[in-house]
Amino acid sequence: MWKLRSFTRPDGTPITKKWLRGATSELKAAFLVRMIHLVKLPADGWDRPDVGQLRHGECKGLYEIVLYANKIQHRPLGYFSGKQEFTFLAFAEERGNELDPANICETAQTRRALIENEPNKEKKRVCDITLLERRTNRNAKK
Amino acid sequence: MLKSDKAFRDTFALEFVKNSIPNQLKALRKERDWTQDDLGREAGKPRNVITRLENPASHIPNLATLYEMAIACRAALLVKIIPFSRLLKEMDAPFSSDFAPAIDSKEEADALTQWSVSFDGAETGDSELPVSERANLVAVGGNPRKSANQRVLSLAPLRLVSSNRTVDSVQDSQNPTRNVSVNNVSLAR
Repeated sequence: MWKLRSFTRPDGTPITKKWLRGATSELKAAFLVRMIHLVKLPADGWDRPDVGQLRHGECKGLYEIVLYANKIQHRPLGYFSGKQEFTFLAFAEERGNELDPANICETAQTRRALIENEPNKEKKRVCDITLLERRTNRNAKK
Repeated sequence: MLKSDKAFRDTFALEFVKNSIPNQLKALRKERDWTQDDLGREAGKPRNVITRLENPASHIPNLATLYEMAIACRAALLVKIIPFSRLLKEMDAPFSSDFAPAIDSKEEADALTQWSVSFDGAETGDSELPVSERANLVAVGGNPRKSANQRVLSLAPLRLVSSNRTVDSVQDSQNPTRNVSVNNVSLAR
């Protein structure tokens, strides 16, 4: 089973949280289902057409999850940060074979460096994320 | 969100079909060490059709095509209508190991209440949803014939199951639920 991680903002909030808060129900569902499928696949299952490797320029070394929702091509970007571990770094849309915003790969690479080069574990800008969770009895609504 | 956001549930079910059909076809093909050309030959279809069938972004294939693919893989096609909470269990996701299958409306409601979409480890807000709405999770509109197809196909999880699993599934299907919400299509060996 794959572990999913997310780059966090300075206050500790995962960037996935901010992105999904602004997402439509359709995009949330598309993302959730895609990731639920992906976390169960072997490493060679993370390939086209579900996942794309970015090979050029600033994007080299990054991977994109290929999502389509609300007639928009969405591209969560990240990298393989360990064995069976994927870390989300940034979120973009694709328009005419170009990522939008145009500098998103630069942003993602900067964030990757922040994660990988921070020697102090306490200050690392990354956290584990879960897709679905079972509420405890205390939190379950009757 | 699973309980209160109908649009989310509908899309979740649709996305499940869109992802699970290609995944099952690809897994079955790889299990047999077949290329897309090989599967195409078995199914009597060109390779580009197989490529399309294995792409979650493509249109959901119709039942006839799914049946043909099942036969080409020496498999069978199983169609089921199941509660939404059962879908979560059927997804065989890490969260579902102790997820009790719903067998009636109350259990269905309890089952959905016990789960939340997290994405970041924190709960997202859920509010109570009337049972009447929970029981009507399938959004259908427009052309009646097209809508009927969408009801069967767009919200239909497709599953490849082992022979043992098939027996279980058939037995399960003899135990009708009151709060039926999601159609399930399976390829069974």
